[in-house]
Amino acid sequence: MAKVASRSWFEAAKEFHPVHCHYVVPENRQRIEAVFLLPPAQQTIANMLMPRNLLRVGASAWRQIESARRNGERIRVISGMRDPVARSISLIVFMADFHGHVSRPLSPHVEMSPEYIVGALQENWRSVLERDEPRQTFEWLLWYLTNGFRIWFTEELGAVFEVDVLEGECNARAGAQRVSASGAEILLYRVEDMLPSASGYAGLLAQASSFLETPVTAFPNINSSATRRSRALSEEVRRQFWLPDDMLDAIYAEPAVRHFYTRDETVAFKKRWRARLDRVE
Amino acid sequence: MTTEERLWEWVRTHLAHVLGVPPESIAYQRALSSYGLDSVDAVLMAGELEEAFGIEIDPARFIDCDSFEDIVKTLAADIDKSGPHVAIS
Repeated sequence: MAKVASRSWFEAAKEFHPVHCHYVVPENRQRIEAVFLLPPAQQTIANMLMPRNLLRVGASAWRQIESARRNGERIRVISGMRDPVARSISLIVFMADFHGHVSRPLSPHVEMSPEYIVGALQENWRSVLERDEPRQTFEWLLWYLTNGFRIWFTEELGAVFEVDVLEGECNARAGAQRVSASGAEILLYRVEDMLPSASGYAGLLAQASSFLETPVTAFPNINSSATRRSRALSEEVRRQFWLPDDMLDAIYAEPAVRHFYTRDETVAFKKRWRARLDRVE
Repeated sequence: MTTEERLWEWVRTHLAHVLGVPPESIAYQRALSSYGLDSVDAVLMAGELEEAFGIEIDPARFIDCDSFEDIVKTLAADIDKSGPHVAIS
């Protein structure tokens, strides 16, 4: 769910050989796979390595969960939430870099402009909020992954472990939320709390140490976007991106967002992403 | 030609084309980053390598490899052990 932060967690927990996966539920993987089998005219992803890997890792994780359940082994899950709009910017730049679009300027083979990416992402958000599934594969996968903030905790995490993680209380000051589920222990965190300047940082480190039963004194600074050639582009998109107020209202009213963030925090997010003339940077 | 040699030949030819340099100038012990290439280039190459050899490559592992030798030897060992279509993770 939280792409950038998950590499940090992977490093923090690597002595336990964690599996870094996104979609595990067979029905969801089949849905993604079906899209990848669309006719060639609808295939707009240039490099299928990452999509293939997404499905392979998900299938492997599912087999491991089933095996652990059969053998009565302990399952621990770490999952995070991030401001959906900030995440979507990382997502579109990530996809432009690593998936590449066959014809639009969303590819490492062409010069990408921040203005074009801002427009493409606004178009994507409109489709997400209108539940209007694109017909082409790059656009569809971007749509599906962006929409993840709305359904991931119910249709993936909740479905696999038979638990409603949004039912309990998320105390941001505590740094993270612990949930006991069917044969698993789950740690839910907010990506923003992984920054040392965040008020939840110390609490999150304490929760991570307790959950992993090993001292976690810092989150390894693993951010693959920092060394990519698209870094400056990504920062410029982040600076320029905006959405209309009605769309921001819809995004930040979603139950998953309201579960993880306080009202003040969602107001701050909306101020950050509103039309540029009066927004707070 | 061994599997390792075939893989290395493919990688070197591919990189030479991308960089516009003679294949002989690509050194086996060096890393992708030493040629000014980043994780995007690594994933693009890994995607083509998967299709050319019918293998499965973990992108993270490919990106993190210390040298071409490191990744080529690992891939070759897995291909020779299990044939194509093995997961490397």
